[in-house]
Amino acid sequence: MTTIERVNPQTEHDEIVVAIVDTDVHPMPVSTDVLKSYAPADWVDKIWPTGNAVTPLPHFYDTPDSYKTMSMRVDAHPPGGGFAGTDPDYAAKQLLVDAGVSIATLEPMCDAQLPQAEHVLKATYNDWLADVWLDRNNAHGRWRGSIGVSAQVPERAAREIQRWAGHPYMAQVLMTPQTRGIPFGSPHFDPLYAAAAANGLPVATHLMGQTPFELIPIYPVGNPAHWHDFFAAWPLLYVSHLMSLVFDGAFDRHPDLRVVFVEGGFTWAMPVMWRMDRIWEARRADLPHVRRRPSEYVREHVRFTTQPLEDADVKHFREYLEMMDLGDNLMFSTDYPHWSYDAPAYAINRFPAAQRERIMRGNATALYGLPPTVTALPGEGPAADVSFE
Amino acid sequence: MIIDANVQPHFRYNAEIRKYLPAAHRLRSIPDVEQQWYQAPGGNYREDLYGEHYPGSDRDTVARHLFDDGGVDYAVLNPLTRGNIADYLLNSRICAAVNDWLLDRWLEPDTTNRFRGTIRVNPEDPKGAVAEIERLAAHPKLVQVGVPMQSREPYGKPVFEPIWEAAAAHGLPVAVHINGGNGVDYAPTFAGHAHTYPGYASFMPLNYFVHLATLIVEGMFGRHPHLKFVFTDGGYDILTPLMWRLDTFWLSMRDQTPWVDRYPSDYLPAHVRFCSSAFDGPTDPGQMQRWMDFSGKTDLLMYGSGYPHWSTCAPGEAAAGLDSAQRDKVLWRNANELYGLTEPIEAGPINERSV
Repeated sequence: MTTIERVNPQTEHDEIVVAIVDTDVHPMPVSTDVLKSYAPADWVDKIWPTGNAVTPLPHFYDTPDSYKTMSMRVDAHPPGGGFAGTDPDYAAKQLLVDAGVSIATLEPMCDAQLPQAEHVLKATYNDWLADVWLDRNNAHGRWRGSIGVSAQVPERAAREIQRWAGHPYMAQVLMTPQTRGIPFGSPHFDPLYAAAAANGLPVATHLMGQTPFELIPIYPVGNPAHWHDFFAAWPLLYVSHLMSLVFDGAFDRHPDLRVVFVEGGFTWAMPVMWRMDRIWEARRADLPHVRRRPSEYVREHVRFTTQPLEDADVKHFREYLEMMDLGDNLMFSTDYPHWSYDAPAYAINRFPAAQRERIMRGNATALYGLPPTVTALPGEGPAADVSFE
Repeated sequence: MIIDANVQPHFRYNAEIRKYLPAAHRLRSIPDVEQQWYQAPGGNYREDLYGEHYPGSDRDTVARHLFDDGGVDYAVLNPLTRGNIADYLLNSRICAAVNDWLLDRWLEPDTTNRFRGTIRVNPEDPKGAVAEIERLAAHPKLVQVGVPMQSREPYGKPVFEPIWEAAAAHGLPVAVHINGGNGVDYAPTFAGHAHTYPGYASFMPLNYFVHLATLIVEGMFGRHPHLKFVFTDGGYDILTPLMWRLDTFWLSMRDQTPWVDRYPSDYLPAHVRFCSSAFDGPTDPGQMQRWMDFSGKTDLLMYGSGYPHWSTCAPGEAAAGLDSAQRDKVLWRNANELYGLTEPIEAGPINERSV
């Protein structure tokens, strides 16, 4: 198996080379009360009307043993108590030191039903994330944050993006893909996209709440009964959004927009690019506003995170990725601390050698403007350089 | 030898179906042949085929285009109905009328013996669907059961099981085809309604995967070893990524669905076929041979022209880039194995039916 070799491990350094960027990590507030302390007082009773914790969210489609695991890695619960992903120090030990991640992009998940409540809840999470993870527990500078926005109120989302623009550690905007029947290419989202693009922030999307029911995408031929078939078909939500972004002209309206599809697969990108190119060739008269081949928009504007990697035969999987030739568009991710976590050492071997460096760090470093080195943590072997061969 | 596994014959004019409906239903409101929410600008069918009657409605013309010009030896006719209209009993009547019309206008008068047909049934009326299969299954020229892609429940759900059981018992594959009309359907993409026709047309075929995944996970193929599904709108381009994903989580999910006793992709060879489409496959034909090997698609794919659709695909286009063994399988061997088309047709009186 290929591993990342740390060269010159005997030397002590404060700085280590960025070797692995993890583009999908989920922090959680220690408690709802902590979160409430960041919320506007007059909203607390509206967002949390029963006083019950909103986290962790109940799931309509449950993962294995979810009553016990709550879809988390069971070893990720901090030894001092609390839920997985609530302790920045323990996350730093497990993910940064032990697994060898250099920089991680944090993507908190939350949902509220009503548009204005959703907006306030997202802003509350942003204030909490900036304070707890990006400021007080970020002396090493290795956490990056996501500006959560409500896709239901794009004008407010734009102002929220503006509020955080220029923050040294806010790396991207995060919006739900569960947009209640509005595809991503719709002009509805234009204010949000314009604000993100103007500030050089990519827009990432990640499965959000699995409750309430209205937030579950309605599968066009009906919804499956089990998480297994539900989640296997989930990439088709991203396919739908991507086709809309291209065919409805969003990338033409926002030339600087970058979209990151998180945790929704990526091997589908090859057939979807072929499919869009073929139909664009055949129906150009229907698409006067789509000026370039669809696959060109994908290569320029879209990134995909890699977890969960498909457990196919490694040789065939590498051949497929070589054929797909999207080595500039894939970004490694672990999904820490969730149950379907992909370890870096497991993942790297599955990529073609010529794409590894770009997938493990290069593409994310370029997209988010990350530094070449970061501060070493206690217990971390310093490295002058790394090899991906 | 070439077998075209996906041809849509059409009524000559909208009112023609009324001749095949029982008197009590002849004055009901029924969507027109070409009526659908997402119609292609310029028409759904090949421009050169529009004339006095609907494209694909004259048997001799279709035979000339497919057999004489296209070199096709056998063609499987899979007529559309009029969508999942709200009155499911009327929909079942429409299916029966389409079946009787297919026999009356296409299969019985055909002396070339090269057309085969489909028993259209309405899955929203399971008892009626089973009865329609029982009524017509013995007809030697009806080689499959046909259902719409559109549905408000995926086809793995238990409500449909009696239909699939009846089809399998008669050795009839179930063909799933996008069925226009004006049905009571959900939006065609996972993100809602498409804003453009290309946005609709490029995504809609991919919905087959939800039917397929639920058929596997709900154990339908496990319980019915002779059940076969044909997805006739293509979409096999995305088969490998999504089946890999289904396989990846199989072991983790066995507590919930212990009857799925093998990797999901292991069900494909015995249970699943696709018809070719103009939108599937590498844009670089040089990648075709290697790409077909992923998920064993060479054994799953059958040539289907989609005639008279605007995206009608000729055999040469469907086989572009394939090696000769792959070409044989796609152009006829796989379909021949599924439908047994080169076997002689049994002589004897045509199945009795009530019109």
